[in-house]
Amino acid sequence: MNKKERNLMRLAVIVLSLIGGGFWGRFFTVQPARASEVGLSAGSALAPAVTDEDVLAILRTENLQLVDKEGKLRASLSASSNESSVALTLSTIKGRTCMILHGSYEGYPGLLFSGEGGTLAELSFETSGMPSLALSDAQGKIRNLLRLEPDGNALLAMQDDKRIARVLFGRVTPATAGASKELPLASLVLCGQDEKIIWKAP
Amino acid sequence: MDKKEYLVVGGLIVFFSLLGSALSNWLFSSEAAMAAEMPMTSGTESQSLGAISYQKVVKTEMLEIVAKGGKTLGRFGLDQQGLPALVLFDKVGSVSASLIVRPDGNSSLSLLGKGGNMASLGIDSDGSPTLAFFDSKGTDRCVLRLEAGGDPMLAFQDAQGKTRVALGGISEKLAGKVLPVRPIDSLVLLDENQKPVWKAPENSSRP
Repeated sequence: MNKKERNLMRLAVIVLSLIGGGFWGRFFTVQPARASEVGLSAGSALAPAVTDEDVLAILRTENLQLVDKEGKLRASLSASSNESSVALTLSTIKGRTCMILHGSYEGYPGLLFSGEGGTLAELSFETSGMPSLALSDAQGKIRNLLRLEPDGNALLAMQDDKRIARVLFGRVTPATAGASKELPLASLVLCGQDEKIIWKAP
Repeated sequence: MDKKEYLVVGGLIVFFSLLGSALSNWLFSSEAAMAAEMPMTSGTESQSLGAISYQKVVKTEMLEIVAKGGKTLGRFGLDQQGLPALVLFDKVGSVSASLIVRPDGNSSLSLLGKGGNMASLGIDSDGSPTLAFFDSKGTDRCVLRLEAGGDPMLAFQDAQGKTRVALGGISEKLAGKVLPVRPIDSLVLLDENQKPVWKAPENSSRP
């Protein structure tokens, strides 16, 4: 073998070694999971397990959508267009939005459930900044309201279908009860259809 | 070739095989890492936020939140009927909170405490908005809700599920054969046999 042949052989050895090493590294060493292989599409129940290798540390998006096998939107976790809030929404099979949890709508977070017939349950903050739980009938009228008054005291108010307060329990003020004189901080007041007090304690 | 030549060729094979393998790993692991930065299912438009790239919309049937050890702590996905749910688990794998949509189209939030006590807010199967506290046996002990006709009521119940305090309206449906039907503006205290032992106002025959 002359010098030229030896150099050619060495070059061939180098190239073939690089190729061989590359193939070995590509196919015979453990690779991290590819994004396309993450097991999120199983989706037959809330029970499927994924292996440790399938875990992404962080998923970043503006809008995460849950879609059924036909591609119909069932739920979403998304940022609002004005970047002020994030909302989680769940929908029924018919596509009606039946639950909204929002981080901040007009400055206040809230949780809203809506029934098939139009009834509502809403846990939120009033414009005064105080928390409240409101249960509304099918006509959208608040009938059961549990809230903190601006002074921090609690009040449970039950209203009839004409929005007249019939039961006031807790921090009852003359304004809310239509009373002529100051009531104790903790009171139970029952009012008639004409808004007049028919019974109170103490 | 002499012995020295064989050693040189052997050394070249070992060195460049290692180099090739290292290059291969570096190249393909970089590719995987770049892919891992991107969300996992069908996405649409991608966005760049400084050095971080992400997709504007990610669609999936299931999202799982896991702890560093791999334990699942939360799932946001569809059940077998295609109904969405968000479920959070505690460290032993029990459900601690859930937001679900039921097949009847109503939804609720449930928080489960230690010992099996539960708080629930949502729309009942009869369409009534309800806040309820349950004891460890699953009996509702405190219920704030609207009755089927929309009348509001607050009820405290005993361990057998019998109403002992009723503030607000008691509808015919709720009253059944035992409880008295009452208007909204009423408070009734009942014994273990569901008989009123005290009520206000006394006159309960008003509409």
